[in-house]
Amino acid sequence: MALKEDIRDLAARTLGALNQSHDYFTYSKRVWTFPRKVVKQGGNFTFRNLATGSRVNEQTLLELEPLYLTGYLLPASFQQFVSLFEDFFFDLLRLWLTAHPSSLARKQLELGTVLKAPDKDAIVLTVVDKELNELKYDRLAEWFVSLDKLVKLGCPTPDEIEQLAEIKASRDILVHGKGIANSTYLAKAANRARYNDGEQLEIPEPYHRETWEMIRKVVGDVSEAAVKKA
Amino acid sequence: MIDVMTRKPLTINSYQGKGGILDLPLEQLDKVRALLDANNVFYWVDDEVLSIDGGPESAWITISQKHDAAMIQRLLDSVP
Repeated sequence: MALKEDIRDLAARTLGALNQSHDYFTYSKRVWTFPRKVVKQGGNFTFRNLATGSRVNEQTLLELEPLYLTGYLLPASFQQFVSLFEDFFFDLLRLWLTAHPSSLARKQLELGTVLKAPDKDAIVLTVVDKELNELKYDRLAEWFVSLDKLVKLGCPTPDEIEQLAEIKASRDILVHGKGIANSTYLAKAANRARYNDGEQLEIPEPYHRETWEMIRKVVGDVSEAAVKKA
Repeated sequence: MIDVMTRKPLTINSYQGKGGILDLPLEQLDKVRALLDANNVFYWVDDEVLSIDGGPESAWITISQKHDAAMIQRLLDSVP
């Protein structure tokens, strides 16, 4: 029963966080209407950043809007969606493995680690975390293979996994590759690749929305299926 | 193309000449989208429109960074 409740709680927290994140994006985008309103009404203002020394007025601030929305807000919000999905996935695995540690029975630990552990639960958690840390560096498709070995949920579909793989590949390029598609992106994204080698990745708003919807769907489907099996 | 509200040319707001944002009257949205579609421009339209103090609604089109803003401006300027 505890595992079911833990999975339900995890799903609820994740879906709530995804909604909050999308709200943050939407309302942050909307606040750009205020300087626009000032300009339309012929008003003026200046802002000065005391940290950098830069200064903007209502005109120069609006000139920054394309960069701030497409160059910063959309990619950052997109990355936040992906982070929430990763947290959900690995928290789910952690819950499942700590409830069913027998799948890790062949894993080895140094005696020193065992001696330092306060109890058996701590030992199990050490092995679980080690396993998850290694899995995080694998490709996203392998994550679901590992999950499937633990418990056959029947979801997400291969098509959905491919979409998620491209989403994760895009996120990785934004974080580690200066936003330039490369061979690693192409390999991870496979048939879903949106850009060619050397091209600058973009996060168009429709794709941003599709990502959010896909992640919400997968979180909902996977957690519901996991609760049934728990 | 002339903004029917301001009577000034529709102008793309771009940062460093790549892509940009077009703020335009909602009533001109379809015409501008047709122009962009006819020229294979990748763009997206904001879900919301803005009306200030009950006035006519404005929409936003974001042009992909892969397009040169000057090219988009020439397209806009090429039609009445």
